[in-house]
Amino acid sequence: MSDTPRSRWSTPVFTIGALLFMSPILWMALSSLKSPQEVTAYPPKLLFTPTAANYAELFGRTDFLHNTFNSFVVAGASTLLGLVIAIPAAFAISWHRMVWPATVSLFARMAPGTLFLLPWFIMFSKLGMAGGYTALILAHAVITMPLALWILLPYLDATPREIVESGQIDGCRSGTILIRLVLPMIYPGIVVATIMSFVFSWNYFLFALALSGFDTKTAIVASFNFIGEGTTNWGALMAAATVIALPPLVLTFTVQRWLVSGLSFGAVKG
Amino acid sequence: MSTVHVRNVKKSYSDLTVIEDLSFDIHDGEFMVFVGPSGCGKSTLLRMIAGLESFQGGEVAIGERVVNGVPARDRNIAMVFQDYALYPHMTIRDNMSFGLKMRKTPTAEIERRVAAAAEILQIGHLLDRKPRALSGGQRQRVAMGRAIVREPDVFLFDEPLSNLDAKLRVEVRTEIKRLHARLGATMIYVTHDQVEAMTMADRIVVLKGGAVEQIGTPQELYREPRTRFVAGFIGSPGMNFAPARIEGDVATLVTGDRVPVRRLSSGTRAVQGEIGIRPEHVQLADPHGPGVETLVDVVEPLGADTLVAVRLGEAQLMVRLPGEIIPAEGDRLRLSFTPGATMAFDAQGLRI
Repeated sequence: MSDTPRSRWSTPVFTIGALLFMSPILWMALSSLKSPQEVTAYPPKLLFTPTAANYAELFGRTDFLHNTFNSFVVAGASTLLGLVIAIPAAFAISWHRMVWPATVSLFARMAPGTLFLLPWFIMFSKLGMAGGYTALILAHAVITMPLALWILLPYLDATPREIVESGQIDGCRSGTILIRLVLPMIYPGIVVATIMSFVFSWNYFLFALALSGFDTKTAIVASFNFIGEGTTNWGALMAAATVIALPPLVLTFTVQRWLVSGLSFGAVKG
Repeated sequence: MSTVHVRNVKKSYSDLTVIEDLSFDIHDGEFMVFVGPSGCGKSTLLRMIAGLESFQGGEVAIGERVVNGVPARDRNIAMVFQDYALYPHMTIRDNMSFGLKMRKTPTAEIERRVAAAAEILQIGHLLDRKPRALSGGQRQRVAMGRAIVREPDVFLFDEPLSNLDAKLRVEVRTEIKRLHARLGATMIYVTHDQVEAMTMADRIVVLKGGAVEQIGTPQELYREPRTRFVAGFIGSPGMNFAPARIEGDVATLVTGDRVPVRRLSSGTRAVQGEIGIRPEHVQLADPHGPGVETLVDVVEPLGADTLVAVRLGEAQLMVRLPGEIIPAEGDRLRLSFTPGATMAFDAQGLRI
């Protein structure tokens, strides 16, 4: 562990950096509290009388609450599905040191979403699944699964092989070894994979736009209703964006203490 | 408790042969040590018996049961790993109970066995701690405890002492030996350290390049090594060698000195080879008796003995002299070899 003294500049530099990164988010949050006149005012006003009108419109006159619920269903289920597939897959890939399945899964993630969209739309339509949760959840699992797989691989590679072998000798089958011995050791990796999968699914626009129905529209798709052909309801759009940004932020802040690694210390010589 | 039989096993990774056609038997209750330099296949062999490594030919049997293709979990063996391989998220008690729980042993029986093993290894006060709170020596004891509670047919040890410091190594070594005496179980132990092999083993398998060099008791390997490799590997320091022309029972060294040798076979034809003599079988020569002239190179006083590296012509010999004799570098020493202790090896390294 290096213990270099921090430069006296580091705190101001980090503060300025953080403000730069946060400025669009601040802008978004502030705009969501402005009246229609103030939101488009130029030069922009920093001092204004905040109003809840945009939020009232969002939750009162549109189905945004239901759309948010849809987003939770889709992001939650696709995260779960992605992890359920990715965890055993990553375990097998890491144990057998077989790289190609991981690479194949990455291709699915690298290919542009539009490539899948048309065949899926036709496929799900013929199956009568278009517009339902299932189609959307399956589609989003294509985003979450490779992501979770690649996040978990380094954690699994760092797990001592002897632990797995010891489990074999202790009488376990592979599934038991994975659940009882390996999962507790890669817990931080699973937390990271969960957050990333959830956030990516939550924010993914394209599949939801094409595959969701009226009842299953996600928040991110619904927010685009405020962008009209001639006019855009900036205040309501910013309010929607603020609501959409909240769950990932809350999720990340609440679980970040779990991210502390080092659980495997003491397994083999420390 | 069980016998172990290895018959004609072969293992290779694509083109590389790691084990070629190995056969031997391990008796019930025997402490067998596999020893050899790194890459000799000793760990691979142990892992084949454990069921952690596949092999291409031959068979492995535990007791009368051939276990080829039987997964490790169904072999009723227990293994102590070099890096302990304790489960970091479980307490010591859970670590020791885990294998029994997996085999659906009744809780009362698990508790009894864990308590008994903890008593033997004196780790009772550690049972509720996690592995990371333990020292290296304590972790290794827990790893042994985990094996003991299983009451397996065979105990397997894969270089269990390599991560311990020198003092602790001697302690744990004694403990494993005591454990073997107490349990009377069949144990197979892998090490690269010939001192561990000599001190612990009932019998030793010396491996080199995936093949057996010699199998025997520590005394047999020390007294009657069949190859130059075994002679040089066993003993501390190992046997000295000097090129010689061997004819009947007499070897003529490069220096012209003539030394009597104890032959295994009664060959009469002259052979170009080497003589071998252990450091402890060399002493200062009687002024009137036979002897060879040597030049002192390095002196290492150890207290009880003095190790002296001397030059005999081109060859270098390590000699163990009594502690009170401390020659100086550059001294000339006239040395003689204990009668009957000088061995002869041919050019291929086989004892003749």
